[in-house]
Amino acid sequence: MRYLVLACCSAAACVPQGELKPPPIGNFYFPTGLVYSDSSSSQKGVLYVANSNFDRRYTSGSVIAVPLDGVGAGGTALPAIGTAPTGGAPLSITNLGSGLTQVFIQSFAGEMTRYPKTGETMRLFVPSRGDLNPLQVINAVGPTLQCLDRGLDCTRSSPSLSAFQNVGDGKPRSVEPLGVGVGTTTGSVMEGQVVVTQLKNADSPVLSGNNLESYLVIVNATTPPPFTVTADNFISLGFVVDGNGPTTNSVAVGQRFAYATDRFRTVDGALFTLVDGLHRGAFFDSSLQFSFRTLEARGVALNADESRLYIAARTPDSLVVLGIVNPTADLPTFRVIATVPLPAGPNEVALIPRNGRGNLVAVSSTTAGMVSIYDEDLGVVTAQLVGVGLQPFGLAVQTAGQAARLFVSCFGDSRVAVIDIPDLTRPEQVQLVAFLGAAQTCLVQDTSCVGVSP
Amino acid sequence: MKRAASAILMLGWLGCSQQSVPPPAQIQGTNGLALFGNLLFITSTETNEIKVLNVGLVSRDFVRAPNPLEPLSIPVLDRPTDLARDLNYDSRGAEVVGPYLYVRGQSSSQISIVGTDLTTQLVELKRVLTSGIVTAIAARGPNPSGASGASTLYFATADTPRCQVNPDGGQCPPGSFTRATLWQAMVPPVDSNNRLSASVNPIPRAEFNSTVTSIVVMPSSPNLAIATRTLSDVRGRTIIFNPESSAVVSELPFPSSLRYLATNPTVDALLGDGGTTTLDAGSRMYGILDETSCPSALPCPAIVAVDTSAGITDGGIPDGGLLSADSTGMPMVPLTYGPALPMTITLSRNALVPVPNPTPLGGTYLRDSPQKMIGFVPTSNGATYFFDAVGLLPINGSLAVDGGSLGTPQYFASDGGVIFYVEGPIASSLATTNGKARDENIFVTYQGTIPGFQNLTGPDAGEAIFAAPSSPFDNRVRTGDLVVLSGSGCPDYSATDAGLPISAFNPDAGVLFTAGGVPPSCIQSTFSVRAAGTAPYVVNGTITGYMDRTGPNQLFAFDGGFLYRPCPRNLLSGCVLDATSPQLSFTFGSGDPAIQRDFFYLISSVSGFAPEFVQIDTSGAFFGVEFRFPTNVVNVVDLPDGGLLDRFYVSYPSANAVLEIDPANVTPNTSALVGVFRYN
Repeated sequence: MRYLVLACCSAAACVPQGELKPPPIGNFYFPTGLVYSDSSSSQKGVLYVANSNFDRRYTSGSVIAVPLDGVGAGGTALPAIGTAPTGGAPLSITNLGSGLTQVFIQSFAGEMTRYPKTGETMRLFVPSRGDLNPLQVINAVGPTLQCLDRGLDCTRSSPSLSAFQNVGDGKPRSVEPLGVGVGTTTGSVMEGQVVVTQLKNADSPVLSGNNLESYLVIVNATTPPPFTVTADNFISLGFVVDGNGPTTNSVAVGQRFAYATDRFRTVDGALFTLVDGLHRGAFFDSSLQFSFRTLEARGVALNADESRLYIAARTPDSLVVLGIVNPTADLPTFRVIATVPLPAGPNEVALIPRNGRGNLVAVSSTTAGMVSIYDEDLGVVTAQLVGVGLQPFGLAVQTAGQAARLFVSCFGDSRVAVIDIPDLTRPEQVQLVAFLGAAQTCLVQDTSCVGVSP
Repeated sequence: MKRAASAILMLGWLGCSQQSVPPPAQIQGTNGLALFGNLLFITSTETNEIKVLNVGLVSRDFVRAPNPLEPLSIPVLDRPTDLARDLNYDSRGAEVVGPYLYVRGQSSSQISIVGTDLTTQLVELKRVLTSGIVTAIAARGPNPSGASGASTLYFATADTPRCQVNPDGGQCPPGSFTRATLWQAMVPPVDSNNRLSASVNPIPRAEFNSTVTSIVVMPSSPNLAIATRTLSDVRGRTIIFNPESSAVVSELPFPSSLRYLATNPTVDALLGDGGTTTLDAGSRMYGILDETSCPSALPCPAIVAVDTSAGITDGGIPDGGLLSADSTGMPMVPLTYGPALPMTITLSRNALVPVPNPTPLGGTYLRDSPQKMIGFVPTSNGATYFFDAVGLLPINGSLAVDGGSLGTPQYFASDGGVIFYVEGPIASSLATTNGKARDENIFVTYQGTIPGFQNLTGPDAGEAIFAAPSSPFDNRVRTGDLVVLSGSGCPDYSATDAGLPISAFNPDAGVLFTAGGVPPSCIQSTFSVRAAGTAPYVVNGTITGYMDRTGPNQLFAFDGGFLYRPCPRNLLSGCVLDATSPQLSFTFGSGDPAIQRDFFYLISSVSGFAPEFVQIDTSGAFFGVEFRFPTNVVNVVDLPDGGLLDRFYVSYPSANAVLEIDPANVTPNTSALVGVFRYN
């Protein structure tokens, strides 16, 4: 009987193992990673949302592609970027439209990234902290999603990052991969290299708690199926000694180096680890944590010319701006050039580039439920948006002329907040435009939440 | 009965012997501090309120709410981060604090005005609405002479950029953009109900082409000091500004733009001849360089000071600025704390800080001698540093002998093996100057690679012209030096004297010429230059970097510069130091005839200097691991109630707490365990 179920499941290419309770396609569920893409088939673009299925209410997590033109079909549509009336309450758009596609991934998804950076045809990369710690690889063309095996269950065709746990001493392997980034600078050594972080260290023997070691995984984004990960793809960041050692949270990938933030290193502080893409295996501790004593670092972003690194740090909750000199030298030099207090629980960082001006830097603060906008020119936080749903986490940016739109995954209430900056010269006029999807309370109670505020 | 009496006695004893612990104020975000009399106002950024610690009580306590079980909350604007006091100066140049506290919020276009009278007014009295995000605030308190009872609030807003002129062909000159406005608002005294019933109407006083980062009210009323930020197309300035006439009085000669300003009250100071003098209020401006636009000519991050009398009308500031003279009469050495960011500067007269006793009492501290004026600098590395704000010198907290020293030189083979010492630097001739020595190892390397001329891209095979960076020539490269190549098919140049001799060079063009060209087989080569000829030894310090070259039977002297100036504290002028004495000097012996390439002499150098600081243990064993990031300091001296309290208070947003530090008990330059108490 069990085989019959599996056979049916396989034939229908539906959901992974276990009971057939697929995640809802019409809603988000504990959303985490986000990617935005322009699209020829949807003027407002396509939003890709990783649903982490954090309470495992459903059989799996998912990635949903949402053509934004169709959002609110038959009712209130999502306003075009920068056109929402000012001062109004945010729209609650529970109908995500009919053009959605979905693929299934392991639960507990983390961040999401895409390669290449532009164009409609891309690969999406989503690590999950669920069983087998997979790095899910998804082919996307506009609103169409497909796993590497052309099916819809991407856990089958995606590599496990802990596949070596039953081989030899159980290492190398990733435990709880969370962050992901990819190099996009054309012609650089890191172009197309996908880098994955891990929240926990790998022990050896497995489950012994001994010989804890941390890794980054680096794989080629264009690896043809079957997409395999070998031991050569693991970069050791060293052992944990006396409880001290790096665990990594997020990663930004430059021309030569990957900058992986330290979720924890020592009580002396943590900021980031520099991993050399040219000399594989080489990594460096920036040591800046001794002069800038944050206890924990989370999200990270790198500007286009790799002269600035932006890190969301905790204890104190702050945005740390670092200057980089010689980013492609054997050992670039770094210095902290600004620190800005942020609302409680800063998490993810996204850059909003501006022509001829300094970047805007958006940071989600999960504990405070806020999104902050730091203006690099002014050197101050110009806007702090409250009421951005419960536990805002992932950020995706859409720009159009002098306007920008931020999509924010609200992990705690299973919605995506839409925030507009109608005029990038006036970022203080940032506006919460809409919430996409039904609030989680509505999902759990299986009630219609149209018109209901969470 | 007897047992009950004992219990009561025990309770009474406990009550007398234990310091009472105030109720937790549940502060979240101790970003700002301000002292009014006995009252220390503390921001609680995450909860949009101000809490007040009464430091005048023997057992410090948060001011209680009407329900005395709870600390008083003063609700203010959203996310309060910065506090400004009403400040004025009396006829003796002492700070006089007015009645209002002004609160700036992060990314807020509002300002809260809070009353500070303990008995009647610990409430938000007025909320001022502005036209943009407030980036800096300051306030002038009522005239101490009583001529005016009103306060004056100044603040700057960040504006949407707009062009002040008709753009030429659609292009607005960068200097003509308005990006900030300075506002002024009269704040009258409270009415008979202790409320601020009159309106507070800001009026614009000036426009700026860059964001205003800091404002300070100058003792010379009505002047302000205003710092603006450097942008990609606009140079930030620090100016003395008259808001009444809306005129720039002068531009202060800082080397670059600042992100924080402070000025001094009148201070009695000492002279080198034993006399006394006065440092007038507002005569100096202290600033933290903005790290986003630091000049390469100075260390950064850093604190520097300039004389406000040295202002110039417009432009013309030389590279490096015109820094104030320290007590030696020479321009001050910028105060730095490695890569750590100074967060703020607090200047305090008659501040008590522990200072190391001179030898032979080394290892102990003087704890009963207030200093004329101390600067407190909380930094991002978790420490709060002190400096002598009169002499513009750091306080040397080193317990080592006060003065630099050099170790006995050693001699090593290229593989690091120790060799029997053959002079080389003659040990008895080694000398350094107190204040110039660094904590470093100095290498004197035979045929060493010359810094700045390492691993440069080589020319094609057969070529004899080598492109080199023009800037580091500095007499580093000399005729007869050796170019060594590495690359595919290149000869092995590791032997002593191997290489292509340099026949000529052109520093301006940045090229070297060698007697022989790159061998035909040597492709995709890189090259380095090694010292040879009469000065084949390269002298290089791990901190100082390249010093110079030397050779057998030569006298070596490297001037260097002062790491710090070892002068007495509180001295405004008259400290005599010989600025020309070298950081390192020695006589080189006849050398080892058997020496080979990359053999080296090693000289250890000890500065005998460590800027004094206070920090607490963050291992988690004694205090929380969160006490890692101080941002503000308030020093309390001679409280108005005559408590004669000497304490300083440090805010730690990372710990949502304020630490009280007792200078009579805390041990500097270590992770302090005593003399510290937390309030949160």
